[in-house]
Amino acid sequence: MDPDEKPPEPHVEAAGDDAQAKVLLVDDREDKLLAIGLVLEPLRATVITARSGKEALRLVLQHEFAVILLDVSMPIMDGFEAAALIRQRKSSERTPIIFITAMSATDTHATRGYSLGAVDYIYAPVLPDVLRAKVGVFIDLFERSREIRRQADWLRQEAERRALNLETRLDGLLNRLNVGVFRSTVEGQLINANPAFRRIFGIAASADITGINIANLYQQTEERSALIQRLEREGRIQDHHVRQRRVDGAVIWASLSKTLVSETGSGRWIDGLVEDITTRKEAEAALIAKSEELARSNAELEEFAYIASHDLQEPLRMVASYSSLVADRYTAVLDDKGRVFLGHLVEGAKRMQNLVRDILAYSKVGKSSALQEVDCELVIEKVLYNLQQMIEDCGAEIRHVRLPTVIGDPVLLGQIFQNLIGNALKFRTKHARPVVDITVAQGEREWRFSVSDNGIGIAPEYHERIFRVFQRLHTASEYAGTGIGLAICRKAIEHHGGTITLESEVGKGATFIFAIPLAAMRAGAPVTTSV
Amino acid sequence: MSALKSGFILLVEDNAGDRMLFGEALEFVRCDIALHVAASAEEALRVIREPDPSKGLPRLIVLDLHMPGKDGKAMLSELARLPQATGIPVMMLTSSNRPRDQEECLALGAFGFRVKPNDWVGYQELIAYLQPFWQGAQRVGGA
Repeated sequence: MDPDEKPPEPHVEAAGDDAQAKVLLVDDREDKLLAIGLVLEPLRATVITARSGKEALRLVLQHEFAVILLDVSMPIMDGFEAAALIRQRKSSERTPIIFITAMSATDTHATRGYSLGAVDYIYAPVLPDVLRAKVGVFIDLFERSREIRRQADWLRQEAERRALNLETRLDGLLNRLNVGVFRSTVEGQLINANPAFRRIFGIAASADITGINIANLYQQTEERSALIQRLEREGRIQDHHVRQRRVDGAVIWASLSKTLVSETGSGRWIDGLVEDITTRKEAEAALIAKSEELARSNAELEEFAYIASHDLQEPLRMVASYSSLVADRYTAVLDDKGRVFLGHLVEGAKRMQNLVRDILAYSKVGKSSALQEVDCELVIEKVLYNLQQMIEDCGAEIRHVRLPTVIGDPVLLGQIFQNLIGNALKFRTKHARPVVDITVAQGEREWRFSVSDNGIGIAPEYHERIFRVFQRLHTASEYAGTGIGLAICRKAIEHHGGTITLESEVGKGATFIFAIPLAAMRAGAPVTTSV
Repeated sequence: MSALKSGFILLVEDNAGDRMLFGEALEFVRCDIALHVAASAEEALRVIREPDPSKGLPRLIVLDLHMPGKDGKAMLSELARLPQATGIPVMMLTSSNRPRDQEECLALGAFGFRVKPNDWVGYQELIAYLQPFWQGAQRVGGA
């Protein structure tokens, strides 16, 4: 908007909003002025009188009249002459004029009067009702147009005020914003840009922005051409990440949003937003690199564990096989001490084999496994079969509710149940018959299984530790085992996207609770349906 | 049972300790069959390609999977191309229990797949398990 544009010139006289409309009454005769004045009195109007055309002209310059009543026959300057002069004044060129003339006057009077812009004629002697009605119409008209003008003025002022307000706010915002806002031609010539735009691209505040072509702010100029083609097709581009180049040559990551704007008459523009996302991009890249590195080192570690334990098995088999062969065949030729030594050798080799086997099992959890529909009833059936000897030996009772079909890995689910039930039996108390309860509840997003026993229980301070590899709470002579079983459980459950927790106190049994998501949640673990 | 005197078990195994344990177990179970050990696949293939006329061909081949040089799978492929090897069952004996290894070996024509025993008792059990194979092979060969 042009700030030099001013509201229109005020009228001759500031007609206050509440001011009554004014009527100018021109007649050289006092009695007539008085008489007509009385006729007009009931109207909502102020009557101003003039005794000559000259005085009337002066008043017309000072006031704005709703209507002028002009006596035609006046000395010096008659009504027609006065009307002609009134019409010449800009402020009164449109003011309605009613001529008052004698009944005897001829039609030529009327013709002359109309040609001078008279709106009406009234013949003397004046009929009060007719005069009042006619003048009333003009007052009404005047008031209405004044009201309309007033409203128009107010609207214009309000619009100006709002526009100014908006502009101020917008300017303030644009200046404070960290987002670059710009407008350019389709060819790339900058038209305007906010301070943030200059900051992002390192353009001096004094530099002429219109000398810059946006294409030169791209690391690859062709990227802009491709972007413009897309803009032509789609009309707008949102949050496009692209490498840009500052004027000092530094390369930054930017997020671009552009809109193609067509304005009739002024051609087509590109309105754009640009945000410097270099820091964000770098942080993202660092995070990705870090997690890739972590995944790689984890994979390497597991590969190492797998290979190491696999290769350990070979010589270990030799030690175990030959020590057991010697024990089988040459016990007779050894003395008592020799037999004890050999016993330690055989026993040590066996334990080492169990350890290596379990490390292998641990490092293999989640390798080459595809999640599928698994009926846990079948899983538990197989596990109980595997544990049959142990269950009979300790006279245990294993109770379980009807178990559901879940999305999982059948081998891993078997390991989970076998380890948990095996542990429950292993850590039984001496004075009570072992009882293991397996239950399941369906949550909103997961199956919650629980395996509880009436065994020796676990002190709360160990609840986290027992899930780590090689964590044992008892000596091998108290309870056999490698300390990997629960670590395998946790890894297998986490492979399913679930969690395992423990509720237990010493002497009060233990309850292991683990959750298996209803739907496969692990990315990269495809779900296959099997019979 | 003089027919049992002809033919032998061919054990292909690079580990001397395993070779000896296998022999000890075979002897312990008192099986009346000869054992020929080959320390590599190359050596074993020679035994089949150029058989000693006095000994003939093996009735059973027990083959290690992981060996330096030609490994068990490569040997299986070669055996499949050898007419002399037709009808001789091959039992894989390995420290690997990877399902993929098993599947590959069976696809390449192995008759079976056993994980190496962990101790002396395990070796005795292995021999007991293998016995029907060479006896069955003898019947097939004798028919």
